[in-house]
Amino acid sequence: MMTTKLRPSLRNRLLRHVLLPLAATWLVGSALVVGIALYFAQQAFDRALIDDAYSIASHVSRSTDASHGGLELRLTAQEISTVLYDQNESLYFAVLRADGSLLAGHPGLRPENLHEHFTPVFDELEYQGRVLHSVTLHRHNPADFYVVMAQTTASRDSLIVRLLTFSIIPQLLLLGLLATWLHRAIERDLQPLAELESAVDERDAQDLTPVPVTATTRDVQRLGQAINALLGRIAASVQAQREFSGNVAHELRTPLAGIRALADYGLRHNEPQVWREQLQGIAQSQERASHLIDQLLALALADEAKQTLEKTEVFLDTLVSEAVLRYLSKADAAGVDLGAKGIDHAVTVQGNAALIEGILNNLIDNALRYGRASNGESHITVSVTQTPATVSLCVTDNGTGVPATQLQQISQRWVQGSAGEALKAGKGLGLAIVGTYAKLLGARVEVKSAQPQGLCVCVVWSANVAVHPLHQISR
Amino acid sequence: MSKRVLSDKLSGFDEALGDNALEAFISRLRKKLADSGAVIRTLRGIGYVLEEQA
Repeated sequence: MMTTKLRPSLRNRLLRHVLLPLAATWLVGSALVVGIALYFAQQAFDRALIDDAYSIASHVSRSTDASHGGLELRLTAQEISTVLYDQNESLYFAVLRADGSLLAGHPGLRPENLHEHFTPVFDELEYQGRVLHSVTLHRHNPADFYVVMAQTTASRDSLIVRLLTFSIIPQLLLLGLLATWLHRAIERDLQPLAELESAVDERDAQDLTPVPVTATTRDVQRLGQAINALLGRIAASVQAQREFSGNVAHELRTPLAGIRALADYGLRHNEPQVWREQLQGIAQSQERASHLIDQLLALALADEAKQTLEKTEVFLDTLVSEAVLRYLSKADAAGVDLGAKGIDHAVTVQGNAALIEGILNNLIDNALRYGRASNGESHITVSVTQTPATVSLCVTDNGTGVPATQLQQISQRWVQGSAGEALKAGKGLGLAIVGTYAKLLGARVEVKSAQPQGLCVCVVWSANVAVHPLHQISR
Repeated sequence: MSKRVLSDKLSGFDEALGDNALEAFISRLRKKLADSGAVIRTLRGIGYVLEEQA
């Protein structure tokens, strides 16, 4: 069973990505500042302590009394209390002989080990149950002796607390203010996204109109545009599907009713000849229905292809030659002379081979259906004509043609010429398909009367067409 | 077979084969094929096709 991990919101993620590094930077920065301040403060304290030690050491001199080991501290009790005076700390001292025995000062105040040092040695030592910060001074004049000076650390501890209080609390407050401001700013900036999400979420599946977008930033504007463009494409696709299914349902009613009538008629008779005729009629109706569905499907697909069509260089002469050969047997069966003109040299256009094949199929198919001459000598010519500015692909028949008043109308869907209406075949979709394909290819359709009679339908490319003589083309 | 291809195949390097010469070739070929069961049919604007006699 799959479990869905709850992912953090974009707002929380942004806050986390901004605030965590900010807090880490603040923490490291504060630690550095406090550490450096403490270091210099300790140096000041230590200097005062060592000054006191030097002051006491300067009063140690040779003694005339041999019982003192040859040394004595020449300070009165009052002078000693002056040296040891401090407002905040308790100071202790001891003058030790070279062997570590006490000469003067506080008994028991001595570091664990006494070594010869040329520089003062700082240390922590425990005295009377208190931890003291001490300095041990080793002097050689007038004889070897040590001065140990120690003091309590209340001022140092207090300084640490004050440094932390006065530097960290305001920064913490600033960090809190920054977090609140960032939270609100991110919330405000992401509000259009939340509105967009809500608008899409609450939308009915049938509603494909653009969603309202409050474009406060370029990213939100682009996202809104992309969603609305997608909705537009879906709406066009849904519309094409609806039109296709509606057209199919509407147009299949007639041939299906015809097939039903033919079947009923055949069932009421017992003669094989009648059955054969009805079956032939059913086969023809089915063929017309299939043709109609193919055309409707082609139109629906062409409507959808508007967004995605890719144009390449296409050889018109080759496509024409292939189309004529494809329809040759059908033309022979119909007794029509099908030929081509103007394809003895290569002619290219920027287009799509499948769409141009579709155009040729529809035009030749239309000409074979409706363009037959009444005298029986029917000719259909597929021609390619090039001028410096245009390339034309035309299909010309010598049939009865279309009256001048109908020439502009027959390119529309469901509009037929008089020949088509008379034959009761087709539905007037062929030229509409040609028109749609031509529009996709950036070409135009021209419908005109042929001379001396018949219809000529041309697809004309202009401006961006590329025409190459045969000798420049290698295929 | 297109006229262009036939013309290219029958032409020499330094001489071009005209339409009339090609027609003459096809005419001779048609005579030779008479009663063979195969005919050469002209496809208007395209070329020629060899097909079985109906």
